[in-house]
Amino acid sequence: MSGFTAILAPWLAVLTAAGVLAFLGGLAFAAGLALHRHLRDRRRHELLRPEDVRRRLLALAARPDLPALGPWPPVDELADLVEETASVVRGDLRVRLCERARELGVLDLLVRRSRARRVSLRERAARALGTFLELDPPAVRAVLLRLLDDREGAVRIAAAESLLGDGGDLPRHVAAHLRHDPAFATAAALRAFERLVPRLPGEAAAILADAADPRARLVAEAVARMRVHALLPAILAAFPRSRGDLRLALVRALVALDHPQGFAALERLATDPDPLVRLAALAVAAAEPGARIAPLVRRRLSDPDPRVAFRAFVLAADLGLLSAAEAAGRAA
Amino acid sequence: MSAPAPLFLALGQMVALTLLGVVLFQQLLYGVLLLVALLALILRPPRRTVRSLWTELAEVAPSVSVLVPAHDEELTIVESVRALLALQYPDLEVIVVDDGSTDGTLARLQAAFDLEPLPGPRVWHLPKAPVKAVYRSRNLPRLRVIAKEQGGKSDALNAALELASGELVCSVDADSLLEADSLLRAVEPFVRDPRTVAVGGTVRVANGCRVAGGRVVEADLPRRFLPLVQYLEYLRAFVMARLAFERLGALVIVAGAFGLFRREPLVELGGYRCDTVGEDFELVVRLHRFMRERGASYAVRFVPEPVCWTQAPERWRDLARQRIRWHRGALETFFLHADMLLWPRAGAPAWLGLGSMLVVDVLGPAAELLGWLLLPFLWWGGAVWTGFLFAWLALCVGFGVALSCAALVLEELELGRVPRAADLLRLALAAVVEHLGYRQFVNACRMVGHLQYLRGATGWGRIARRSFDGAVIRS
Repeated sequence: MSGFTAILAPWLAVLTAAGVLAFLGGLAFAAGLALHRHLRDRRRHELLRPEDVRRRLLALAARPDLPALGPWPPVDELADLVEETASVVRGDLRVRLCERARELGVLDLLVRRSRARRVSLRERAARALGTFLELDPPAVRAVLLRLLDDREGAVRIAAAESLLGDGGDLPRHVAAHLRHDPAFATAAALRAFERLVPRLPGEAAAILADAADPRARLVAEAVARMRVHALLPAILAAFPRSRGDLRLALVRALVALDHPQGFAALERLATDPDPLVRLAALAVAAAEPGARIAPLVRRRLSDPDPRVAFRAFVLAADLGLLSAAEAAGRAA
Repeated sequence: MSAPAPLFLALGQMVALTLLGVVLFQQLLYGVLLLVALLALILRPPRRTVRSLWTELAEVAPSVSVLVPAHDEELTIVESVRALLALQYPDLEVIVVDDGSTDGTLARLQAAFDLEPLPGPRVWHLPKAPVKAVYRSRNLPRLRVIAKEQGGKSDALNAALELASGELVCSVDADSLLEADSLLRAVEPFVRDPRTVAVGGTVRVANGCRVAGGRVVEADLPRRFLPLVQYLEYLRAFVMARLAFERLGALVIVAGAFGLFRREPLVELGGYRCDTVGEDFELVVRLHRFMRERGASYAVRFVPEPVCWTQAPERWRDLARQRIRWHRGALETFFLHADMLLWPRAGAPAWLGLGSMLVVDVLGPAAELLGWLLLPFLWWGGAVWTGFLFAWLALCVGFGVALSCAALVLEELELGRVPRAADLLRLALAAVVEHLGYRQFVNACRMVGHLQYLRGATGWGRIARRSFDGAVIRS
């Protein structure tokens, strides 16, 4: 054996052994993985199909007792099916469905899931628990209120949306709770507030009264979208103190409520020396298109700032204010 | 047999040792990537449901322009565009570029989507081949079609890029199939981290899947050997390597079949380069260079969940053409930007991304192929002994199989898209069998790519593919 061979031989033997071990280990791992998967798939295969479970759930909900009906899917799969099924039934049937699901252990599972490490599990639990609010168990309320403080915004939003579905005083808790929540400075918040604002005009007015409250803009947006006339006095009261985005939202709300002060403010914004403010005014006008904004749009067609003029041109075209010849000329 | 000459012995041993060293280094690199991918998987935030993503992103998601270059795609184009228009995304436009098709691609689009020409002349800056017309759909305002003379995929993408109005652009191959939620998932990093300039998703082999309406409705494994082994290769590349490189901040490849970019830096860069066949790879490396030259804080991300399905070649000849082209493209990019390796500010993308490419794409395949060819001769000539051959086999096959199996585990943990338990075993078997000729063949193709690069070859070559209902669509 040469020196080269003598030096290398032990290292190569180690390398060979490691390679053989890696080979066998890799295949053994893959076989184990396949076995694990096989057992899981077989368990799933033995279970009822989701549509059968839904049918059985509904049939069960229609009966006063809880008969033994053979095997059910594991409770974690049942939970999703219950939520899905409950979303398409109403009234007594829905209540009974929830009662049956509670008897099958779904509610306990959701409460456990509300403490899970995985965000998606907590979020789904928060949504599904909303289904059980009709049973009004204190445990559900407590869990949902706890989830309002979850570290993940998505979970807080899900919990808030579930609580907003309650016909009692829970929406008030949500309104009080979500103050300064950064997760609610998003579009999801707007949707939640849209549902909240018409139902809680008192709270919404209180929010509007505080110009520093980040939710004030959301409330104003919701008023504009949903045309909540009950909040017109609060909007008018908030208007003089408002600045920036809040002011724009209030103007939009006033325009949406067809209030003359809104159009006057919009007119002022549309003639502001800052072209960005004029652009914002046109954005408000675009959100509330109608004959009353036509003169304002027409005047902006000759705006010295090309961006404003272009936006006005697009809006005018949308409103049908331009003849074909005029449109072609301006486009050129 | 007479004793070997000392010179032959010394030379043979030196060569054998060098080859072994290079392949060992390559396998160690893969091993490190595997560990990093595992770590990345553990630390990754949990997978979000589509519903929760939609709730959160529906009104804040940036607009996306999907760019679809198409050349002679008449059999699939209408179905593909319909599927793209139906993606779950709140603000989406689709721009199809008919890149000088000689079949009825444009006519099919016109008939299916009621296209009308957009008025007015337009000065084009990015595409080189002349643009003949731009159309918009009368009933689908989100769809526009550019008809231009043939200039290649990059030129077509550049034309679409110039017309795009979205904040983000998504390049998609006309024959690729996106999952309905893929855009929503891929856009998430752009919303969460405004520094993100590019995001890549996972690409999977669609051979064997059941496809309807431009969507994969039933995922399955390829039945034929060649696409099956490529399925495994894609797993290793996406589930393991991309995830690891992303974690290390060294991701330099975003697959051309499905990648999202911020539009502005792309336009500033001048779009895709038309003088390389690895335009997707080159673009990402150039993007890194561009951002680093400006000292900008940025990120290139990889998200495993958004899945794009693509067809893998089913014939050896087509596979060879594809791999030669890929390798040539990789070399073109590597040598175009090799100076970044010496650049102090280049950081992880150059030193880890391009550096690992030097090992895995330039040195590794050559060493592996030469090893399989030379070692039997050296053993027969007495320069290396039997133990050396066993070590070589253990290194190439043993560690190779172990890495493939580990990629399977990652896939099962991460996506779980392998349909059945038996399929996991088939893939494990494929991991063994691929060493009995397939890997050597692919490495030989890479060497041909090397030679073509050195000779300055250009062009894409044509690959036979099938439409998803089985008909051959190109040859």
